[in-house]
Amino acid sequence: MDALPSPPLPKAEGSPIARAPKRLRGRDGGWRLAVLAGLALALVGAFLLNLALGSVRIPLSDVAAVLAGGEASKASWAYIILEFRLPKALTAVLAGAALAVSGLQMQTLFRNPLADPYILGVSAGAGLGVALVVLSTGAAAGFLSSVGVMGDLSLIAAAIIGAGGVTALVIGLARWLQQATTLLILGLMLSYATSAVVSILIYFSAPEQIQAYIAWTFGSFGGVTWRQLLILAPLIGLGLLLAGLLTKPLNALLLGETYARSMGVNVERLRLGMIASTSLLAGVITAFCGPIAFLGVAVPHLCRVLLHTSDHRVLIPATLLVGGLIALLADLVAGLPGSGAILPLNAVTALLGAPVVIWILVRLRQTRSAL
Amino acid sequence: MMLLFPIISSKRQTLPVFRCMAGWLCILILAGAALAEEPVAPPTAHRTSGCLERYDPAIDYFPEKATLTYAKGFTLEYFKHYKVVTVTTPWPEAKENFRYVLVQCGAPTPEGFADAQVIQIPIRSIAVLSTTHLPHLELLDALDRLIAVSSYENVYSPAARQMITAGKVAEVGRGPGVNLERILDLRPDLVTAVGHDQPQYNTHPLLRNAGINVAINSEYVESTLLGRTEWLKFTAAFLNQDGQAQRRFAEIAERYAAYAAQVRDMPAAQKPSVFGGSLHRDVWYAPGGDSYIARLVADAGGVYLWADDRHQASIPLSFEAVVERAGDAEVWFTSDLDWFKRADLLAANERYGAFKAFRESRVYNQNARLNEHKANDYWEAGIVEPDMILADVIKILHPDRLPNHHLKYYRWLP
Repeated sequence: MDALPSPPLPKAEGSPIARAPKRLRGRDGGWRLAVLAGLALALVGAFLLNLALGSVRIPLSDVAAVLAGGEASKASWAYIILEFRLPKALTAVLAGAALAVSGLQMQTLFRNPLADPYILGVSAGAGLGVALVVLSTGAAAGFLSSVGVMGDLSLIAAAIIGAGGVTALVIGLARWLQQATTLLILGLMLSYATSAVVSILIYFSAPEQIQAYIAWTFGSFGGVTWRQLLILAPLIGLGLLLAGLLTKPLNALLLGETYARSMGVNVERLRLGMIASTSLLAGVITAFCGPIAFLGVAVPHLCRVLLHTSDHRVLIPATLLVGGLIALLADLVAGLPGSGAILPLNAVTALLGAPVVIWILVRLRQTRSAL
Repeated sequence: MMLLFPIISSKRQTLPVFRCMAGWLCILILAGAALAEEPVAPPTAHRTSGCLERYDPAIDYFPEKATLTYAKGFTLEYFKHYKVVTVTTPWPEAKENFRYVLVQCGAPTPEGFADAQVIQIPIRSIAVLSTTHLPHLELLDALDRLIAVSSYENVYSPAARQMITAGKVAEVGRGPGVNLERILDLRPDLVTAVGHDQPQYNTHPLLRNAGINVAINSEYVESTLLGRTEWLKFTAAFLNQDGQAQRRFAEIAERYAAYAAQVRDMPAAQKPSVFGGSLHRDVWYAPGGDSYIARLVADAGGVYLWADDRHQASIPLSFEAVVERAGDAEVWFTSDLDWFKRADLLAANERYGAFKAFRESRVYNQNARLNEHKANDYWEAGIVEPDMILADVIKILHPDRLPNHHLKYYRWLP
């Protein structure tokens, strides 16, 4: 019970759920809306920045011309902006939002500040799927190519099958488990088991194959094409919608399952809903972008400190915006504007993100209320 | 009498008692031979394909010597009854050397090589852990000495496959997955392994610890096709086939030079622009500017678009940087085993359509010779046919120059 969130501000009284509605309407509520609006503006700014900057230097006038539907002075520039940077930026926003929101859900569900979207074994499952295709030259890859799925698409298909398999197992077992903690351990065990299979596959693989697997674990937004975005976007939309619908009972859960039950919340159904939405969000993103670390665990903390609240009605839109914003910024840095090279995305998110989060947490001296 | 020697030497690793007995036998036989034969003028040079019956320090046992022109990764030194082979680049940017002292069987082991591996030559059996070593054996008429490969699936050579089918060749794996027990059971005179810059993938430390003779043959460290081919002389040194390797390589290099001469003085305006590699998610892995591909394109009268780069391995590039530089390039060389037509590329990633070389159907893949197990002859016979590979690329870049040549290793993707 010590993970129970304490009231964020000294002057606050009563439970977050009881006081939140008032605050949204009151002065604090206005301030929070202003923060949210500011975040939204920053997101739009970062989005445009991602379209304008990249490894290839394109004059701003040409960027504007292309975005306005005109012609660039070089044909390849229009292609780069419309076919590469635009889907990449959209993917970054969707991925950042999806991972941050599902991270928030898992932290609340397990009342554990270290919980992340992958805690239920989703990314380990996806990793196993990918490893089977990349590392075993035989069956798995052969099966996928026999049904006409090749290249990157075979990785996506394999990751979806892997993540889906683990999710089905978790949901199947979750009905028999009473405690959230037991579910946590279940997810952990599934992660260990799938990772063990991956290590065995790696052990028997050639360096080139291992390289392909490691490249997948780096994560990236730029691999998603328009055609893939047509699948990715609706699925993420669905997952976020589900998360949004669960906002109210989620607040009740902040004070413990017993309290939530006494408030009339069907905790079992809520838990299933959260597992489903988190698995969908994290699974789809992992499949298309690789296991993007850090965002899911850090963004909820950042938002709690920035907005001084544990109210999910504020936190869900906030994590959505901050998640998208950080993903865009990380991708911008990973692209090393002006150079031909790119850094692994996962390295950038953690390397730049971790110090920022630590600084904010220390600076605001709000670590106590971080959850 | 001749029959005795292989038997004796094959007992080298057995009990000291046996070794002692073998030594006595040797002396007896040598003494017998000396008594029986009339003294004749001693030869000063003598090449042998087996063990010496009598060692004479005055004789040069390696009258046929190989010299290296293109290969930078190893050196060869000849002495009267032993050779010193030093692998200076066992893997890219290696900090350590590997030295092998090849002692003529029947001659004494030289002093002063405590740190080196001493290997008796000529070797009678060999296990190769890379298919790139197989063509050496075929070219040197020594395929019959092959007793193991790392993986059956990767073998293309019909002759080697026949030996596999006949049960004459074992499968022993490599790297951490190497089957040490099977190798110990086979006891090949030599195992040739590939050096890797990530130590966990290396096989040679495992084999050394088990007391197996292992030499690192890393022809891939060379930045030219001819340099890669010249590692033929490395294998030859262990077989005492130095002279044959020298002659065969000279023929290959001559043919290569003849093809290259056809396009050497081509004006820059006629040289098509070339790029290579493929997209993995959003990272494009292209051959570095110092790779064999870059050199091959230059020799074939093309302009490799990343020739200014100074990497031998492939370089990760952002997709947009590749579109910017190679979007209008004329020819694209790729190496994915599963691509047989352009539609396969589009199925893998619709973004491949962004390239002019793709739209104008000038994409070539080095998978023209695959067998049913997807073993690629490019990495086998291609190792000793750099001239054919160059001819392929010239034909691709300048179809009018070699009207009678048909692509052997490269496949045009329709």
